[in-house]
Amino acid sequence: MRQTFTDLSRYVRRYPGRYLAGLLTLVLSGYFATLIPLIVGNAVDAFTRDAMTLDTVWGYIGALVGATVIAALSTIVVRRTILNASWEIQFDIRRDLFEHFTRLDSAFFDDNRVGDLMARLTADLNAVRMFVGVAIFQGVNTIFLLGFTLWRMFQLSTDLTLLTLLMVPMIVASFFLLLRSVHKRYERVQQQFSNVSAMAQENFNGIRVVKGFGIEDREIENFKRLNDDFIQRNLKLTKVEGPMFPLMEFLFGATISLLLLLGGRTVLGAGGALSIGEFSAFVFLFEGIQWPLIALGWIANIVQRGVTSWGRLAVLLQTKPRITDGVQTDYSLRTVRGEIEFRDVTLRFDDFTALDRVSFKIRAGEAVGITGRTGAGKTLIVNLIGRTVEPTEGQILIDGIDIKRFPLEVLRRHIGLVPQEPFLFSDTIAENIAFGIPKDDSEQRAARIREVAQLAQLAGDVDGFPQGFDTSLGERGVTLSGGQRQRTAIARAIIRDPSILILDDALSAVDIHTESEILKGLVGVQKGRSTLVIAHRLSAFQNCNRIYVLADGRITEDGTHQQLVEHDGWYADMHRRQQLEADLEAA
Amino acid sequence: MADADTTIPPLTDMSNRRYTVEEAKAEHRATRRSRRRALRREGDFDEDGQAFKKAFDGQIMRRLLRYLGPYRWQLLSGILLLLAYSAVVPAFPSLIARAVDNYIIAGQPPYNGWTVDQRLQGLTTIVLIYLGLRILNFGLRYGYTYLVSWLGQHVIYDIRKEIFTKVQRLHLGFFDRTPVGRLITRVTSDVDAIQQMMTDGVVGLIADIGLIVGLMVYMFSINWQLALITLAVMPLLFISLNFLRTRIRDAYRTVRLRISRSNAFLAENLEGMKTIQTFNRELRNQQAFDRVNLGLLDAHVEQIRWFSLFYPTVQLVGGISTALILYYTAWQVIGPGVAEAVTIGVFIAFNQYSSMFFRPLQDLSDKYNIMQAAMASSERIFGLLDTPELIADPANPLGFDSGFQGEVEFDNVHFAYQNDEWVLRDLSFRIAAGESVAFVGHTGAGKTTIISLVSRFYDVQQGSVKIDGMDVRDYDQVELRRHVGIVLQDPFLFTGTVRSNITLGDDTVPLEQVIEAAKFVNAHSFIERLPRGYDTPVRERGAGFSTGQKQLIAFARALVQNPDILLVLDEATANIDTETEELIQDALEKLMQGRTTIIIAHRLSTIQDVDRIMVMRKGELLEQGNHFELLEQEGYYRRLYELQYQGQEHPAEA
Repeated sequence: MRQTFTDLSRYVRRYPGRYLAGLLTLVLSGYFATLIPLIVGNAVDAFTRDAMTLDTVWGYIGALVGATVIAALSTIVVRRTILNASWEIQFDIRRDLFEHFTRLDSAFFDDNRVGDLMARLTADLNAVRMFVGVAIFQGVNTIFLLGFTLWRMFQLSTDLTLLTLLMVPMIVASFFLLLRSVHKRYERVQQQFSNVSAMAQENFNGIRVVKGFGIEDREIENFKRLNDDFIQRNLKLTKVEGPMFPLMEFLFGATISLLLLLGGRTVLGAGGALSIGEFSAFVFLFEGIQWPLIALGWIANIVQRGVTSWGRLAVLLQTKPRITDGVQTDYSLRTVRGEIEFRDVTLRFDDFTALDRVSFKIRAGEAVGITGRTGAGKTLIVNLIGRTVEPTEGQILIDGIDIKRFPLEVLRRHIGLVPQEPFLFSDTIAENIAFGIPKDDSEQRAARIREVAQLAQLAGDVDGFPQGFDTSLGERGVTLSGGQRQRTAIARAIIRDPSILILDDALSAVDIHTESEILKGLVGVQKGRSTLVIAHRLSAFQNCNRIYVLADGRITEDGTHQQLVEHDGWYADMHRRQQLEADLEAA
Repeated sequence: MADADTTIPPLTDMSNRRYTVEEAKAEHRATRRSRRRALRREGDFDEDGQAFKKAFDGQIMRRLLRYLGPYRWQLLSGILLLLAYSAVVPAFPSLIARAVDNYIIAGQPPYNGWTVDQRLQGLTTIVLIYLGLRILNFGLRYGYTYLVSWLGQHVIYDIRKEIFTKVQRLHLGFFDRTPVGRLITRVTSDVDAIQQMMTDGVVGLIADIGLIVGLMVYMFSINWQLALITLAVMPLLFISLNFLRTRIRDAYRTVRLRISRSNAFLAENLEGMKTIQTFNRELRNQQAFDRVNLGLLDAHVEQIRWFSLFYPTVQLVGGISTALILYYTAWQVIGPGVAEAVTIGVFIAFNQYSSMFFRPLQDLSDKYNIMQAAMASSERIFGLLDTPELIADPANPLGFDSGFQGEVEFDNVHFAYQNDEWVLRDLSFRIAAGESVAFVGHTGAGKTTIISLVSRFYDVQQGSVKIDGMDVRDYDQVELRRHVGIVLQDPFLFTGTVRSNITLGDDTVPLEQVIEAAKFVNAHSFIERLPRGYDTPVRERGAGFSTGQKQLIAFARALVQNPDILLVLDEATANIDTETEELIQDALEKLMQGRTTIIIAHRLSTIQDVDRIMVMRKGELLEQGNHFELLEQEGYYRRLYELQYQGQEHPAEA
């Protein structure tokens, strides 16, 4: 709780002017709002004393209208200052979260469903915003209103005020008891809400599979089941949330009964201790704090939700990226030549050894291939070079320097990675290709985009599109075929002239002829730079000086294509098979 | 490539130099005022750029209310409790008035003759009645609150289910155009807005109106002149609130529009975060995200601008009303017209009534906001629900007694994903039942489209696609797809277990069958090695599984289905190593026996055993025949083949 306040006050303090102005205005509004019952009470007394005339009544009316105008104006000011600030804060927090996400590593995104994260950035963030906006504004408003009311009440009648003060703690206490269980149940509702939206998200993303297999009804059934649970949890919440306001209303009614009984006795009995005007002013004052006091519970509710939600957001913000620049980082390293060396690199996940003492060296300017069966650990090598995972044991050196000493940004800038399943953005093809270079409107840039598209054998396809390079892609590039996506990803990687180009099975959806053209083009581009090709199809290694065969996390063979074929191992076997296929076709 | 280096940006230390919030906001703030006009105009359009038809749409409202139909009894009992509540609440001021006039002041007969003890006893009785009614009030309010919440939950359940079901029924082309984030907004925040409308809005409206009527009944019966005076300010209030309403509604629409935009951006960026990091795009995407959200901030500020005027307007008019009561009372008590003297008790009661009366009115305005939000959300939801299902089932779909024979025919098919960009032009061919056919050709030749058309993911513009001699449009599409197995190029795994991914959640498939299928496609050995075998949890999008593994699972998935017609995209097999691929090849061959198979192939080696090869080029069928016939033709296939052959002949020497 305290941590939440500390955390959030950092955001609130960015808007000192608005919060201060808002809070000061609340003082005005509190003073004048509580003045109105006194004016009415005085009028009542004037009536009973027969002191009211058609002239003096204008004085009362003037005071009444004046106080109302001031109270109304302050309400406008308060809302425009504090509520606006709360939207600014929502922006700030959302921004900080996004910034934080950009620093987290892939492990985080593997562990957290996008739907969950979305729910946090929408529902939870909204709850926090209500906390720093509505809750603060209404909370302070209530405090001032209560303060002024009590002050005025004491001036009217000490006995009745003490009686009122006796009731208030009861009201507050019963409220908090209810709130505590509301809080718990709300948590469970939110959790299920996350589940519901995550499932919808996954279903919408996988709609091709859903439709392709005709499992719509089963999905609908699942969705229904999640929602059934959602309803149940919501109703449990209502069972404790529902009685809150009725209970408040009742407790107020009870208080008014007491005031009526005791106040009435005082007015009618002692005669003079309390006038009927004072008594009615007192009742009006008390009625004036009814809603603020009820609001207090509502505010407490918002605060509770805000705290819970902030807790969840704070967990996200406190998640430390496991891979980050650290004490070892040498910021003087600004460039990468392209030499890569693995020294006894072992990678373990729990008990499973994914890579076992892998050692190899790629000289700058060299093209090296890695092959092996599915699950042999090929992609892990790519991840290690890109430093999205770190070795359990052993060392990886780039240009003879430990990879951990390179600033992550420098490393990434000089590595061009084309993954198996490239993610494209819902932007134009040109912007997807130019994803990694700065945006401007220069002709140079446009020419460069075209140039790399040609190298990736994509330009021809793109020219066939209605708006050429300005054709937009669907959310996940759905209008492009798998091969076109891969080629877009290749263009996207080489436009940055990377020192290390990694093709991670990046040509698998491209036909052999196109593959060959792309590889030929790459020879010129990669002159003096390193290329790592990972593939199942041996034809992808046409540029490679050396090829490694990976089996069960170990390098089992290595050499040139010729050497490997002569070695007569797995590679040679694979080569024979692929040859045989070719020969069969030739027959 | 010579000038390549000039296009590479100078290195900036992004990890150290982040731009600050102030930087992000400063420029934006300076121009906020000038954007306000555009912002208001934006409120006239929905997220697809369509103008809103009406300000407050009765049609939408009626349609929303229809969802309450199934729960009419709950609604009715809720409303009854609510009306009872409305009848009880206005009694409280009148009880106080009576207590003041009769027992506390006791200025009029017969009470002015009472002793103090009698008056005290009378007061006690009134207070007890007051307390009793308060208890009753508690029960009534809790009762209707629970009922209404129950109602809202169920209505929202129905709507959410309807949206989800609708989305399941929509054609694939819809998903090509609609960002997933936008759909998520429909089932989450838009639905929430409607729920709020149902509970706080519609029922709240009835509660408010009930209370207003209740108060009016009491007020008029106590003193009708004073009642009229109290209500005299109503028109003033109505006119000023009406103006504010329009502005608030526009602001709300803009807000929702921009929220949707922000969510879509966020969802995409979270999914593509790894790519963003790889390409050092953190800063730029952050800036883009900031721009989107600053726009959203503007919309919120605009909303508050008008919203902040609402309550004060009510407050002010309330003040005027109190002043009028005061003046009228003064006029009655001391002025010329002593028609029906206003007592102190009545004066106090009317002061209470006036504030009680404005409270539901005030709430009405809040309700109006809720309604506005819900109206905008409903427009979007109904827009989605009304999206024509371009791939619709016929009224009387053809039956499926024993599945398909498997004859597939394309009859003069023209097809384009968009307008006139023809992907297939006048394509005709026939595949006999049980025949295996491969389509080859360069990327973009339209091969993948053929598979989409057989599964009826899209409808042709001209001509027809037939299965067993009947147009695919004559079948029930879900039934159709159940009998047409498809191995897609993007192996999508769902959250769940390996097993649930193979069965796609069908618990009736026994484990033996799952294992059998997995063994068949060579997935069993790696699955067995997983920590919990077939029960190993799969996370979102199959994170942690290699593409090859995902592929194998996708294969097993297709196998379990045992389809009559099998469609295979060879791009799907591309990520699997040669060894595994051979086993799959073997499996495919076995599978091809007795069922029609269409393979879309890039590599000619994988398709030699098919009965027929069709060569496609730019949406047209160029050549067909078996492998040997085609080679002899010395046509396009021969050239394709030679290109591949060369590629494989000298893999490391080029």
